Amino acid sequence: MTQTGADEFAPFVRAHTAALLRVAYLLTGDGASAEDLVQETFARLFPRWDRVRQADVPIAYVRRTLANLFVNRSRSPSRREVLVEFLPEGAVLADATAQADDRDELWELLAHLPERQRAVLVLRYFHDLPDDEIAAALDCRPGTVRSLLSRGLAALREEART
Amino acid sequence: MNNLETRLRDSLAAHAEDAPDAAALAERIVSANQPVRARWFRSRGWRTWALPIVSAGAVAAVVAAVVAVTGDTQHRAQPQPPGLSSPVTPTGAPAPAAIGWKVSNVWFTDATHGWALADRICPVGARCPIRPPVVLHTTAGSEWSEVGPAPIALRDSMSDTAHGAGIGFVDGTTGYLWDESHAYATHDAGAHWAEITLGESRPNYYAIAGRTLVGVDESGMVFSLSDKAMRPTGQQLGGSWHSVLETAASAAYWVHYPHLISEGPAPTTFDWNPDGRELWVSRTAECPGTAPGAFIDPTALAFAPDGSIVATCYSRFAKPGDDFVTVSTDTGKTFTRTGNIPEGNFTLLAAASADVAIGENAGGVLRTGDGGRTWHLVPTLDRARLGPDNQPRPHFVTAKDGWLIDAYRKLWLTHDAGATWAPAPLGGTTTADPTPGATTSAPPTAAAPTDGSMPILDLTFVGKDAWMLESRDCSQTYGLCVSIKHTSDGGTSWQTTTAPADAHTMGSKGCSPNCVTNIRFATDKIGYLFGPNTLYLTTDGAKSWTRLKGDVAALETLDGNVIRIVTTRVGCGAPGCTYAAQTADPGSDKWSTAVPLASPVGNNVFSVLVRTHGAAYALERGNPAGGAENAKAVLSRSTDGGRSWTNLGEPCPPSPGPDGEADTSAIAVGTDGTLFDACYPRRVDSTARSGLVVSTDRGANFVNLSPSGLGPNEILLMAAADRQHVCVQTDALHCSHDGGTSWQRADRTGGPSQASWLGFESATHGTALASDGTALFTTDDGGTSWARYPIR
Repeated sequence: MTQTGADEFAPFVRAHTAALLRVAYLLTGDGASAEDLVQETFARLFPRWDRVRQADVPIAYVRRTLANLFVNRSRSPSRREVLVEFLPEGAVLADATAQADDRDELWELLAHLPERQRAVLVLRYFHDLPDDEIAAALDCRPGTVRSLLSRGLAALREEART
Repeated sequence: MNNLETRLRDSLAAHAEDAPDAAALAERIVSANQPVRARWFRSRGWRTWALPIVSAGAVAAVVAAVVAVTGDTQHRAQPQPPGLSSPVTPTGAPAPAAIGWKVSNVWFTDATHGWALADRICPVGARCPIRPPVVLHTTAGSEWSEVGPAPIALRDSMSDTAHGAGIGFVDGTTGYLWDESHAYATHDAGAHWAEITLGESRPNYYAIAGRTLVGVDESGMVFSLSDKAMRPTGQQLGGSWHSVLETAASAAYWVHYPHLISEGPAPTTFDWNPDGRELWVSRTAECPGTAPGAFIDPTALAFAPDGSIVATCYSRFAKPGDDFVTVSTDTGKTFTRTGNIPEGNFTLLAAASADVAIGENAGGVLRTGDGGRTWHLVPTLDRARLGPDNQPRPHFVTAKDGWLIDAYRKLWLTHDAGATWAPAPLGGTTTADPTPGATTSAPPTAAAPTDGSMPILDLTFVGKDAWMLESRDCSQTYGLCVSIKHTSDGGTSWQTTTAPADAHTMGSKGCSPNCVTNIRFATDKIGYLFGPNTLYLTTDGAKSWTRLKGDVAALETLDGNVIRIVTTRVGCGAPGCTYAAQTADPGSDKWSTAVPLASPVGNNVFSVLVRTHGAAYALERGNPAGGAENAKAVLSRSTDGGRSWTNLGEPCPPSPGPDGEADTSAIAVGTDGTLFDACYPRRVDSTARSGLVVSTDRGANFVNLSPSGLGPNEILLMAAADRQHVCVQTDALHCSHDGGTSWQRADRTGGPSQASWLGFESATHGTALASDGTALFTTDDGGTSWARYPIR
């Protein structure tokens, strides 16, 4: 890395970590996982920071890496079971749902969506990114973004009704 | 904008405010201003109570700690950096001869015919030109040859992460290659590849089914290969939060794992395609014989080449004995319970038949040959050698023949149904990665002393004699016994010695009554093997062992005297115990009356005992559980061989800012008696930094150092040679040669990047164990330079 790249890395991190952390938190739903995700994103990009800073919109490039890392780390071919001592409250419990705050209800429903659907919804409705930028972030085609958006909203709509 | 979208926008905006504080995180990221592979050790709040902190070698401070090294790689494509072209075109310049290969994926059509996607390992020091990955081919299994370049990138040149590249062949000439964005076909055994057209709607996953390539997208839409294009068939398979497309015996399986954190039964379903034609058959994996409401679910499926399906059934309530193995031999129509699941977070990985399967748990890679009734550790593999979750899983192509790719991207093969494994003879040197930072002054490679299968738990040195405590496989199930190895030539050669037959190392459920965690030797004959519930003594150089009464939190020998730290209440488990010291002559089974350490009674957890000539120091951490904010560590000192102790209090000064309590995280004493004490703020924010205080009057007074270059991470391990030379492990191993003022990374002078054991035997000679357990590093100049001795 050039000295210029090294010099620009720290200010970039300080300027953008908060925004990236918010996105990571919305994606992962968990503070520790969000921190890990942001750290890992920068750890992977730092060795080639000279190239990142030459991108048209460096933050978009970083966000794209973050989104990819999130989707990738969530899908592993080796499945490990999640054992819980107590069954969590089910979203189908009518009383609990009725009493839940609307924001929290959507938040919980969002957490149960597939990772790519969740990522698309976050990038669209939190970051207001257009289809092509979401597609770039997730390394897919705009048509796929629209499909994922449609399916994600439909799933939320369906779950919110139950 | 409809109502749902507005509500979603509001919800995201509101919950984004719950994100953690970014300032501290940004500083941690900035401080690590160098390429890193390991994830940072995250220090958030207080440390775990399960700190395996034990004491020094003969005269040095050693603090064992956990260093999280993940080495994650990714399975999906990373974004290409600006200005980089896709590396699909081979250059005309000849590449230097590869000294080895890093394998990303592999495929066998039978026991001997295989193809591998691989990157070259460049010779150390050579600047290899950027070359595309290659396809390697074997027709006899014993020799591999390069058949041509692969038209895809296997690794992201920017982030060094693996792409989700796959390869599959239907016979000796026709095969397919794919990643997230592309798919290719070959009809000349991999020498040339033609791109398969992918439309806007395209598969996310590929598999070989019958004699063709099939694909499925994330929604479950099926694609088939037709006229050199992957086209949707119109079939819609099921889906779930986690779906996987697998191949076994030329059949494709689209598996939908349910989300277990939900109410009600959660069956695992899959769609099965035996021949690549349009028919997909839906099946449901069952856990037979379980009562309604028992919540025992199939959590992993493995598909054998004979069509058998092995599944693991887990109880959501983790009741002992509820977990079991179930097998189907009729393509998933019915399942029969056949065996049990080893404990220790077992994960099923692959099946060779209805009887033979392999998986991994905390102890290593396990194999069953009888449907899960018994499980054995695979001696030639270990958990550390398996790659991360997102690497290709092990796979059996026949009932006897299988492959796996390890964490170093080495290819291993088995020809006896997984009982033994050996590296594939791809050519070149594929045994291990070069160690970053290794110097040319390193001594010749030492003889490898270990079978490389288990963790190294502890080391102890007496001159050129040293003993190494390891875990080893010892039972028909999942137990871990003790292995002790000895060197009498300073680590050049090692021999296995006798270990107590009834001793175990710590398992996934904690320490058993016979569990040992540490080893110390007072002379070349007299040694101690101990744990929180047990103590063994040898007086014949580990030829035989005698179990003594009592438990041991820490034990150190020096100057013809042994000090052990015990709890004053039988069965006490930290935190909340009161600790005392007992002394004995080396080799004696008669211990003095226990003398309490100098700390207030109770509510502490013992941390570390270190000794130097004329003084011993015992550190107890405070217990901040339950919101006890003012829970300082207490340092006790004995200058009479452990017979009495003086309370030195908490050496760490308060850290700046609110809630400024700082706690001792590690201590070390040099051969000249200099006492170093590492400090870390209780409250971790953007200003948090590792601190260091030093005393040259046996702890009576401490001088606050201002370490520069250590970064914000907590000091986990520390060892001191003398007042000037001290080394610490934070997120990396650092050494100082000016008394702790300035610090340099040890891997820049030939040392390990991470150490899990660290100690100085003299003012110049010290040893570090690489955290991956593969090598010992020694220094003869107080940590200024290091030499590497591979041990695995």
